[in-house]
Order: sequence, then C-alpha cells, then structure tokens
Amino acid sequence: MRSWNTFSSLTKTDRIQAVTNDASVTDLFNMKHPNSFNHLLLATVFFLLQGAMGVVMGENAKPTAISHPTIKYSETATEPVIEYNLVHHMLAEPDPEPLLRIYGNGRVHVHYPAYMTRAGDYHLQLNQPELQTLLRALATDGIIEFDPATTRYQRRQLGAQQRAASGRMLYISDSSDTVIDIRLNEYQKGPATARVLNLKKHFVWPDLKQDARRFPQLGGITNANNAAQRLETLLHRNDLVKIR
Amino acid sequence: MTRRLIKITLFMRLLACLPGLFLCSKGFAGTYIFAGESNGVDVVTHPTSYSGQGGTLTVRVCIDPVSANAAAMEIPVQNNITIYNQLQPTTGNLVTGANNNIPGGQVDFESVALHELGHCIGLAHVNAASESGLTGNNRNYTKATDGINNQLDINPGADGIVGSHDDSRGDDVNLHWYRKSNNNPFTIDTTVDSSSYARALSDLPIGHSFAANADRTVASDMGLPNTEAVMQQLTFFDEAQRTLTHDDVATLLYAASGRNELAGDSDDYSIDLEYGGISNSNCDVNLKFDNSQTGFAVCQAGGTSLPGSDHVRITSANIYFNTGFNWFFNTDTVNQAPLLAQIGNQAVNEGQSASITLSATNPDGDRQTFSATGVPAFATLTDHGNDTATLDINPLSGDTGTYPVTIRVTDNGLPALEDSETFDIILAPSVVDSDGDGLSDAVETVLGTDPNNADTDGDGLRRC
Repeated sequence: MRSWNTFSSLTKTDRIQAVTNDASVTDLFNMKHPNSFNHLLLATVFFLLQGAMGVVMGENAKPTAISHPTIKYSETATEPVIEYNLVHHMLAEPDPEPLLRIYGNGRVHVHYPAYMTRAGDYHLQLNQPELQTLLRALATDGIIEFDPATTRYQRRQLGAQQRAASGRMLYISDSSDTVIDIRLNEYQKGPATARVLNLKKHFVWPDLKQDARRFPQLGGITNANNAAQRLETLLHRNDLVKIR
Repeated sequence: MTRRLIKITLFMRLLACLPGLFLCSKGFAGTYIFAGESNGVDVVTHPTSYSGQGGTLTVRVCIDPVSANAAAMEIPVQNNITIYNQLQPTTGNLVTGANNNIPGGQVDFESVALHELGHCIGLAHVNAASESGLTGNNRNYTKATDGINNQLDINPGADGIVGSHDDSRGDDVNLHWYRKSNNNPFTIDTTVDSSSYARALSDLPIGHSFAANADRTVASDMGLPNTEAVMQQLTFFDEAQRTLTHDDVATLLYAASGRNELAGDSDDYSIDLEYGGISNSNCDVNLKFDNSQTGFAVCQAGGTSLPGSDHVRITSANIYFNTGFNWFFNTDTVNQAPLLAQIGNQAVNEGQSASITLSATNPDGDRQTFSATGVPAFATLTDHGNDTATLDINPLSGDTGTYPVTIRVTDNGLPALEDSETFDIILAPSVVDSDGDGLSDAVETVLGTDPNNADTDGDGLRRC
C-alpha cells in the first residue's frame, strides 16, 4: 500500500470518469503531464486570441477559412453535434436519453424524463450562426481540449492542500455527472495546430458545479462549468416548444 | 426486581430470528465516510458532537426555513428520525408498486432522505457505488480500496453474485465491517463491537473470501427478498425504502461502541436524533432543496480526526435535494411503539389470589396484542382486546418461590413494534397469624414476641 505521507493521493485513482474518446485530441495539445503554469498560459493566449477574433468577426459571423478555431460539422437533422446530460448516480435506471441534443441543422431537442417535473420533449431551432457561436464558445471553454487526467491530478493536489490547511476532511455522498459530447467533422484550434478529423469529445465530470465552487483556481473546471451552464441555459429558454 | 426493557429494539435483537417480514437480528456492519486510503481504512466516523466521551449523543436535524418544500419535508424527516432512533433491523424493506403509497413515476423523498441522513451521521455506501468508477452491476461489489495495483479487482466467485461472501477481490482492501461469526449482513450480533465485528479479512469464516454486503441480490440469494441496506447506493423511482436493515443498524452500533470499539464501557454512546423543525438554529444536520448544490440529492459532510485514533467526528452536515424531480412526500407518520403501563413485582401469599390489570397505550391508535412468557401454571393471561389484559394468579400450596414473567404488547403497525416488561411474581408461604395481631407467627418469632399473645408485653396496647 502506498504511503499517504510520501505520495499523498497522487497515484491513487479516484476514477473520476472524465475521459476522452479521441486520443488525437489529447495528443494534439500534449496535455498528458502539463506544467500547470504553461497550461494556464496556453489557455490565456487561446482565450485572448478568441476574444480578439470575436471582436473582429462579430459573434454571429459565419466562420471563414481563416477564422479559428475551425469547426466543421454535418449539418443534417439526424446527427447530433452536441449532447448534454446529467447522470445522477443515486437514481437507478435513469432515462438513457440525454437532456439536450443539438443536431447539425440547428434543431435543439430537450428531453426531460418521466420522473422529472418538466417531463416531456421540447424543441427549438437555432440558426447556423447561433450553432457556430455556441460551438466556438464551448471550444473557448476548453471542453474539446479538456484533459481529465491532469485536471484530476490538480484537483486532488488542491484538495489535499485544503485539507492540510484546514485540518478538515470533506465528504460528498452521491454525485451527479455532467456529460458533454461534441462531434465534429473537423476541428482546428489555431493556424499552427493540426487539424483533427472526426472529432468525438466525451466530457464527464462528477459534481462539476460544486468543484467549480470549491476549486476556483482550476481554470479547466471553471471553464467546463461555464460550458455546462451555457448548455443549461438552452434548457430554460422561453422559446422551447413542448412536442410531447 | 423489575427489569423493564425500554429499548424495544434491543429486545427485538435478542429474539431468535422469526419467520415473516421482520426478522430479528444478528449481523454485519457497513462502512464509514472518510474511510479509505487517504484517511485510513480503519476509520470509524461518529456523528456531530462526539468527543470520545460516552453518553447520549443528541444530533439536531433541521429543515432550512428558506428551502422549497419545507413544510412537505416535515413528516418524512421526522419519520427518518424515528427510524434512526428506533434502530430496528428489518428485512423486506424494499416496497414497490402497489405495495407502497408512491404514485407511479415519483421518487420517494423519505427513502432518499433516509439514505442521505445516514451519510450525514457517518455511514458510507456499503457497495462500491459510483465513486468507484465501476459501472452497472459491478458497483454492487463490497466497498473497498484498490490496493497496491491501483485498480479494483472484481470477480463474483463461484456463485456469480456480486457483493457476496465468495467474491475474489485480488489485493483490494476491504472497507466493510462484517460480523466475524457468519459474514452475513442480514443478521446482527447481540454485542456489536470489535469482539464480534472486523474489517480485516483475516477474521472471515472459513471458506469466505470477502466481506458480503447487504445488496438486494445477495439478500434474495439468502432467501430474503426485497431487502437491501439503506446505505446501498441507488434508489428506484416508485420504491419505498423507509426502514433500516441489520447492516445499517450494526454499523451505527459499532461506532457507538466508542473510541475503544468495545461495547459496555464509558466511551459508548447512544444516538438521539432530535427534530429541530423548520429552523436554522443550533442544527447539526440541515436539509434543503438547493439546485446549486446537487443534481439530485447529496450529503456534504465535514469531519475532523479525534487525535491519536482512527476515529473521525463529523463537524458539519448538510443534505441537499434538487427541485427538478417528481418527489413524493409521504404524509403518513412512521409507526410509533406501544407503551406498556408499568407493572412491577407482584407479591402473593400462598393460598391467596391476585388479579393484575395490564394496560398499554399506542400513539398511532394501532390494535395491540398482549402476550407473555414465563407464566407459571398457576397464572393466566387474558387479553381483553381493548388495550387491557388481566394476569390472574391463583397459586396452590407448594408453589412458593420467585417466578420471572415477561409481558409483551405488540402493535399491528408496519413494522410491528412492541414494548415489554419483565417482573417477578413472588409467591410467599401462606400467612399464619395465630393471635390476630397483624404480625405473622413467623415474624413474631423473629421479633421475639409471643405469636399466640396479641399483647406480649401486657401494656394494654395491641399491635393491631
């Protein structure tokens, strides 16, 4: 058994199920063992570039060949580009259908399971610029580049520091996972980065909202929570129409 | 000497297992929050305010005044408190479909709150649960850490049942406190402490390879359908799970054996959950609907180590629920135990008769039945069916002696509860008072007076 004193919880797998299904995405950003400062610097530069481009192009502008990140997806009505869900582990036999699906043609399908107060199916329509803006915002939030292993390590380190400083342990019983899936035909973060084809990003993080509150210094968590809130906003739009 | 058994649950535990819905106990304990590789696998966690001193540990449970559904939460929360204070182990505690009062497609708030309240007084999941990273049925393996190889090793063993006694777990380190004598989570020992329970696998019964947990499939395999520890993660909608199992009770009792983990000494405590109402004043556990804190339901607890020990005391405890679900708020109060009016020892002289009136009250107005054990042949119990009974005593010559008798009153609530009292019928020899002065001949002999003279000293005053 490892000693807590010598290695803390660094190598202890807590099995947070934040995984990527596309190794190329992780490799692209070389984030397996990043220095946290470099990580932050990279994110900051990326964010500033994004902001500058947003000013030049306007939020709803159709991306051009030189805009970055480059995001291409199937614009059909049958292929979801974005999915968002909350999985509650205390609840057995949860409805497998995600809360939110956004298809390539901009159709938004919201599904609340029968055991929820808003039970039913709803829809609304986004236009292509709106969908592009949303995808670019999610990219800015770092969902596509999110590195679960590094973030998990940082989280554990900070948790141990908090515990050492306060002398207090914290227990959270029954988690809810935030799940975000993004499927793109093509993604290129910037002109100097490689293009990724057929990107399938699967983001999962337990108790994201609580972690964002508890670890504000973890930019990856904060940004991922922003992404989740961005999608959550769609669930509460007034123009959702109940279809069944 | 009267030996009144106020602790109904204790009495229930002492009974041999009965056929039927609610079995009496002997069993297994579960696991504790904060136990693990980081804080130590032997950690035992205690409710708020435990400092290592014995006695009654009062834990005040409140509903946040600004919470949604605050009023609707009151009965379920009070029911939870009653259940934890009764500490009665049950089987058949999973009630589904038409057998419960939950409308289809709704989630029982009382059941979920019972689970979360368990966390907030120190109990962890008995199963691997979602925090293990395992998926599906594999989450039902017994709670453990992943050992040297940093991965949970899971194999259900020859019986193919996940979470049972023959699971093969490689180098996984068990976190589940189990009953040494039988590794059976659906029984409980009369004494729950380190003499009868262990975490290390070296004390397992011969032929067992891992601690079993009180999972519903394990229960079913042992002939106990619809039974599962409250602290098993997962609740189905339209499922009521409102009473504790042996495993839940044993885990609480093990912690209550105190820092030395030995029952019967000065550091033992008993838990007294107290309902603090819709209030935020002096509360140890707070319940609130707050969507910013949980997607469904959660207990968030802080803890601090008791110095120089593997013991942890909870320092803060908050339970949150999300409003987005069709919660069912039970409006039926949990069954309250009957209260038998005190009887006391009964002295009867040989050759005389006595009739003792017995009565009991019931807060729920349930129908009650009297029964007795140890009744001698010269006594008869008659249940009048109106919450009263009579014990008629008609001793014969030669019956002199002391007869311990237990009178029990049982209600028809769910679960059935009872109260009892054990007392002595003391049958004295028949009284002979030859001179009629009110002092028996035997007593006068002891006093040195003449048993045949009502005025032995001739002072004109007679004893009578």
